[in-house]
Amino acid sequence: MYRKYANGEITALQSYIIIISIMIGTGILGLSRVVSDIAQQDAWISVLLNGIFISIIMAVIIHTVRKYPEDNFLQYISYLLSKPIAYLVTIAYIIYATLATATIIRFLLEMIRTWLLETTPMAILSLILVLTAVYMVKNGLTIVARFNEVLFFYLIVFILLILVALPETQLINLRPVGGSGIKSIIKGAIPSFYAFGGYEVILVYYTYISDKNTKILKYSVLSVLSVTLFYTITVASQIALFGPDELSRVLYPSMNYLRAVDFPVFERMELFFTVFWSFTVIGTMGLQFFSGCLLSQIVFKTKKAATFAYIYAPIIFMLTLYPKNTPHLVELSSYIGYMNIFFGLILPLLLFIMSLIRGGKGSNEKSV
Amino acid sequence: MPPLSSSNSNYKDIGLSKKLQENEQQLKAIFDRSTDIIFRHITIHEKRNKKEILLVFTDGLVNTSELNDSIIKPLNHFSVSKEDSKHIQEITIDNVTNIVNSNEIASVSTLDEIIQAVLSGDTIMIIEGYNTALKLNSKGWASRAIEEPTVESVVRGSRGGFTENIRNNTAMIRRKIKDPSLKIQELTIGTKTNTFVAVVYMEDIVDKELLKNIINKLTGIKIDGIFESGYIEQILEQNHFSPFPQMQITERPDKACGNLIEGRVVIIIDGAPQVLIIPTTFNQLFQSPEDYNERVLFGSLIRILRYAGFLIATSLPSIYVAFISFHVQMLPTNLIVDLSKTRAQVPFPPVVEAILMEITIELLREASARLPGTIGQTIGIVGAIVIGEAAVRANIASPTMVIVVAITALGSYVLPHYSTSYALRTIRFPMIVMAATFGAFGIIITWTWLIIHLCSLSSFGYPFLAPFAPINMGLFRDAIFRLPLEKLKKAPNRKS
Repeated sequence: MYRKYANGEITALQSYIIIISIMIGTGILGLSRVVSDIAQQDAWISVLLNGIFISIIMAVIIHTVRKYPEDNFLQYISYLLSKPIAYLVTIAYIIYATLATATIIRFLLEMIRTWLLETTPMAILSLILVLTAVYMVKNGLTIVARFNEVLFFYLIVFILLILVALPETQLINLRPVGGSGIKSIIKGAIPSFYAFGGYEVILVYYTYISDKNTKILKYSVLSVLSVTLFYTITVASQIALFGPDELSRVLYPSMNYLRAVDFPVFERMELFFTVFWSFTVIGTMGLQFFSGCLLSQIVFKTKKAATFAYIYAPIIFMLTLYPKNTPHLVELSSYIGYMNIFFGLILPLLLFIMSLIRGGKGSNEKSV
Repeated sequence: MPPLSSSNSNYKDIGLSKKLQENEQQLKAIFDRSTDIIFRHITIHEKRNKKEILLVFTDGLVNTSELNDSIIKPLNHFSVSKEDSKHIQEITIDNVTNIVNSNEIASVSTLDEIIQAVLSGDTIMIIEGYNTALKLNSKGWASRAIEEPTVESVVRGSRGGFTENIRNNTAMIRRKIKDPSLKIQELTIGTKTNTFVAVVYMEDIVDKELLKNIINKLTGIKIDGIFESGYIEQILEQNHFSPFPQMQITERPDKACGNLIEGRVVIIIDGAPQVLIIPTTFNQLFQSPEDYNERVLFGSLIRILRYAGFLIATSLPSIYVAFISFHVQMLPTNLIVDLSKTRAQVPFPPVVEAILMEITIELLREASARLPGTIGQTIGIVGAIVIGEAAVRANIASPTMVIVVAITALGSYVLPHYSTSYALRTIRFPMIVMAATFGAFGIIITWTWLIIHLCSLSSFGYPFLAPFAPINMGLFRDAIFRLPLEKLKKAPNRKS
């Protein structure tokens, strides 16, 4: 594969898969609980509205970034917002990406310690995961994208797991539809934003797509909508199974959902679920990690992004060990949620408005 | 077949002299103490004077009856017969070709070419008074008859395999593809062995960049000897330490030809029946010609079975170890009761049990490969049954472990491409160790590393995991299942 860019290139199809893969990550576990705490039985409507809203944001992003196809993240932001702000934003994004990676790894570790390995020390598991992340990003963007492509096939199996407990659900739990009131429904969309997080990474990766064409807008929005559909159905089926009262008492509804049915061969389906879900999360982690390394490479102008992978690895390792327990982690991850809102919502809108004001073709240099 | 490059650089620019005596002395000095190189003098009585002709050939590499009948006999006959000498007054290098019956005649002038020709089984004819010699094709040596390849046998399909003779192999390919755009380019590789290597491709289908790349790499090889395609494979491959082969190897002409028609390049090496197919992708390691000879449904199902075999052969022992050591709660209650009964008597932890049994199976495998014929097969069967039984009786292993190991071994044999089984065995052991240390998480991490490794592997610039990553719809028609032949008609566009 003859590389056009030093960090590798991705095809348009890979970019759609990246969007889907990075969105389906740690958020799905507690999504229904978090939203139904506020919106009760209409949590699924909140999720649906949130998804549609995000697909509009995605359309805004692609529309903006499309005007500057050859500029990387730093270049088009410095064109639209001015250089010092661009550097600030980029460095903020690097910090956000690193923190997000550490959060994801820590979340995964929590799940593994709860369901798979109770007594293994956190540090060793964290070390293995960090090493895996470094190995994944070492060879550039193309490898990370291909890994997520292979994982995409797993996702299809994963999705079938939703249908598992349908016989046990009681649709009455979903009624009255709309009974919580418009206000709760809209308020319920805010915590679900974190579950959809990650799509803003397209801001960083757009320039590396080798066959950009007009259909990218359509299909990127479709990717977000398919994830929305998946989440909506998940949340709806979990509410239908548990009911909003019970749901608020279950820490990880997606896991407990699978206990509703008995399987012939495997006694505990949750381990099965954990295995598939771990793969998905590892894919998400790789993408987030690489976006941080990539931007660092652009800012500090080194030859390969992999150098930063080695530099950030120990930092992330220590960060994953920092939260003392799960509630502490949840609290810290809410800060990540705020940063997510900034990069996922405020920044694209800002760029969109500036691109309308300034117009033009961007700095139009050949990307790094 | 003039070789494109020869490495005998000592004699590269030395030519012949016009005196036969000097030529003979020079050649005798070079071939000193090689008693199988024969120097045969023939004296021709022409109308006015005598002419000396020297034939140089290697005994054992030439077809002696052809040499006698077609080359020596007409020359002797010329001296005696009055009719021939009426038309030709004097033997010159031009008209001797009319006397001698040989299907391939070329003229050579450097010592280098003469030595190569003699050592390849041609006969060199040096005529007094000329400083160029003639090379006559007289090759013939003892070679193996065409047999079915041992590791690639099929139920439905042709039973012929490649042999050690490069000319037979190219002929078998020509028999299957009767198209003038099938090109066979020959090179000589190896400074000491000067082995003939043929690069075979279809001119109108192959990717020109790839071909140029391959030929450049081949002509740049500097090595003493090439004995088998494996030497070239190891020089050309991109990643030496990957467990997976980056080129296919086959002994079957139908597999080679199928790949040629899809635009790949086949490299044949004189002296070994295995040929190389470049480039290859991961799913090709699971393809067999039988998939195409049988109907769609069975071709697809058997291929899916092979993928399942791959998964089983790599992961089953590790899954067993992980479940028994860490996640006992995953198994159905009845099974746990039975398992605990049998495992209670085994003094070792599951991982030791697993590794012991696996090592035993590996030893059995290697032993039965080295031992001759029937003894090897007997040892294989006896060993498997007896050792398994005895191990259970002696409480070294539990019966479940024996079953797991047996199914794993079977799973690794369904792969049509033999070299992949080495990959499976290599992956299995680290996975067992990881499973023993980290349970299911260990298996997840090992698979992640494996997938990342496969993603970064490429075969001559073509991504190894196509069509899974990058997703390439064209190749998907033939990856896990095989679509009907009408849909497979066009060679897929493999570049991504």
